[in-house]
Amino acid sequence: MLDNLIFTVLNGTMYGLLLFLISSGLTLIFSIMGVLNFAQASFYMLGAYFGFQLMGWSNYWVALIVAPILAGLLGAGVERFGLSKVHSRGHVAELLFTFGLSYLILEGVKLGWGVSSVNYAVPSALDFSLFSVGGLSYPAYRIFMMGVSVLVFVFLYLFLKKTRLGIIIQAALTHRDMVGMLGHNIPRIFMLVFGIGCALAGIAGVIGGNILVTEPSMALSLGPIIFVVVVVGGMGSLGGALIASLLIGILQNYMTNIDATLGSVIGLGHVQHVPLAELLNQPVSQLAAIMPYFLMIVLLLVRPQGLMGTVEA
Amino acid sequence: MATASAHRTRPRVGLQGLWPWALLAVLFLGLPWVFHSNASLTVLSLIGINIVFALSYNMLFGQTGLLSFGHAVYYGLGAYFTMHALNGFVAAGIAYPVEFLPLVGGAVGLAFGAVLGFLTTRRAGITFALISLGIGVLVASLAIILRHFFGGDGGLSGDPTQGTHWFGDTLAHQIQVYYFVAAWCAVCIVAVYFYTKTPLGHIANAVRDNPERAEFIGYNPHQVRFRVHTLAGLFAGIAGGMAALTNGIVTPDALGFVTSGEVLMMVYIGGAGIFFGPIIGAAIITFMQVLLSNYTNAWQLYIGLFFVAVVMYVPGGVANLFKIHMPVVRYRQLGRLLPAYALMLTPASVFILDLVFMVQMAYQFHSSSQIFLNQSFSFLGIGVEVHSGLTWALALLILAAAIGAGSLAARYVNRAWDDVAAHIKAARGEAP
Repeated sequence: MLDNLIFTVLNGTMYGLLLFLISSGLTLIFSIMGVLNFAQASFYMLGAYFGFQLMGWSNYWVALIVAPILAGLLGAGVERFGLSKVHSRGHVAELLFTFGLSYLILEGVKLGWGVSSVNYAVPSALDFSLFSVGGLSYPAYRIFMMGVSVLVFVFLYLFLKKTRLGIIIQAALTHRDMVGMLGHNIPRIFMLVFGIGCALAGIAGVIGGNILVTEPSMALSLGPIIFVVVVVGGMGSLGGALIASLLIGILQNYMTNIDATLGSVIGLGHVQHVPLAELLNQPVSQLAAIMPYFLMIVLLLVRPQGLMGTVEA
Repeated sequence: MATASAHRTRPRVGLQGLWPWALLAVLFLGLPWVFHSNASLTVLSLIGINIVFALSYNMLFGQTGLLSFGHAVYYGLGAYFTMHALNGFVAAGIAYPVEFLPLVGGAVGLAFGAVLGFLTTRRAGITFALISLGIGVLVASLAIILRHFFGGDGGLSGDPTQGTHWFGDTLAHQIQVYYFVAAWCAVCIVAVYFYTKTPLGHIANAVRDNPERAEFIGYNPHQVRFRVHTLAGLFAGIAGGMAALTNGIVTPDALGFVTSGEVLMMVYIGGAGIFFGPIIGAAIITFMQVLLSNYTNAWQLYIGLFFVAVVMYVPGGVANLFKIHMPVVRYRQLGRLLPAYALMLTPASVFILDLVFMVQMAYQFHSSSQIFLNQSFSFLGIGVEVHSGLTWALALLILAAAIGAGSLAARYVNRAWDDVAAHIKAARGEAP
């Protein structure tokens, strides 16, 4: 029982950190530019495919560094030559632009790597069991993933708090016009922020694409969960996104271990001839995938602004 | 309300305001005489269904400012319930006319639009967009789990030629399906149009433009959004019911995100700011889908590129292009614009052709390296070697040249427009 719990928490934390890598990029872009990057999960997908390709050409360590940089450069390019052109027409136009972009990236990936999944494997140097609890072994790669995620957040924090550029970005968050008047190039800051946000998703792709599956539908299956994370956490709140990511990650992993049906868990046993009987007779593990959306609905009823969000004006 | 209507001057309905309706009626009745093959009637029926769906979507997006990524939920649920109603009525021998079954879909869309709208419309703006997406994914996932009702991946089918028909032996031939769709489509277009003229339709525009001011004059924006969402559910449900009876099968795709995204593209490309915009958009996108998917695997890429191009360069969509040229025609200034447009035509068409060429070449490159097909293909009758670097370099060079020439021509077009705008201002007696 205890070993199961440890594994659930570890796996959940790992998945949660992966969600947070992507959603922190989304939140960063949203709070500074006001743009909801609909293509955020598409950059996660690009990170995975770039990682796969670079690993084939050289090795995993090169892929780990270069793939996120490529995703970030692509993001910055898209911002510079596309998104900034619709900036003057408001946030809906920007959102729709990134929606169209997600479509193009999906088609581009199908064009480049085909419609079925690619064999993006865990690097052999990290493919061993790190420790075992109660006869169950835990893969080293998952611990490595958590380590990379935490390292990225430490660097991001130091960058935003300690470097000159980071402080300018933070200032642009609250006093965009003033920062512009002080002589800083706001369009270039936007380009940089969009690039960093996309690179964060790219990192998640490189480290997550090989234990999840690298396939063209991966963006569409993860994207909505990322959006649930930011709605549950509260739009624009990094702390809220972290809590929501870990909550969803751990809860989802906990649910996948329960083989009992939903009806028996809530004390109804096997039900028949009632509406939604099929739902109640499903094993809880099958419902893990839709849990985030239920969580979102419950939260909307209880706390519409999200966990850490402020009330909308 | 009383004071507001006392001051309102009713716009005179003259004959000049009726021409779009006359055109629409002529099109609806006349099209099957021109395009009478079964294939083209099928396309026309699809367009009719998508017009109703797109108009329903635009009640939210264009008229109330609610960007939804989950509108297919109401369309799909309408379709499923309609199909169940058809099968149920046939099995039980209830003499409910099949032609009026979309009303079942509409009622279901209305009910779910109210229940789910209560949740989604609590927030506006981007949060609404995300919540509608979440609810959409939830319903689509539930549809896979609840196999008994939704029929799993295979979906649910039924035979619309069975059951009671009030208009003879209907829905057995494609032409009858067309007129069934056209009649419902016409009714819905008129209904949605009159909705935009109701107080709710007007206050929805106010909530879109400035929710705070709408609240100050006594309207609760959440209430207004909720009511519009419920009504939009009604029309989406009717569209779903029409689709169920036209296709004879409903699959979980009807509820899914891709369907929601498609209707968004239709409305945006057609033009969300103008009543007839979604109608134009539904026609264009449906036509493109059917036509392009016959010729190329890359058809979704082309639709995506088209959408992004419209977002970037044609704000307001295709309908807005007509709208901005109306005063130009009225003040007889079109002659000044046409030479500039003609100049733009060459680089624009070269750019599009070259882009299509490169996409097709990339697809050929990909499939030839996968299944060892021959490495050359024919484009506009010219054989092309896709593995040659020279071909790619040449294509890129042409693309760059087209972009260069295009931006020069764009300058010319802008100058012509400034000229025309100044002339129109002068003709109207405004200060330049």
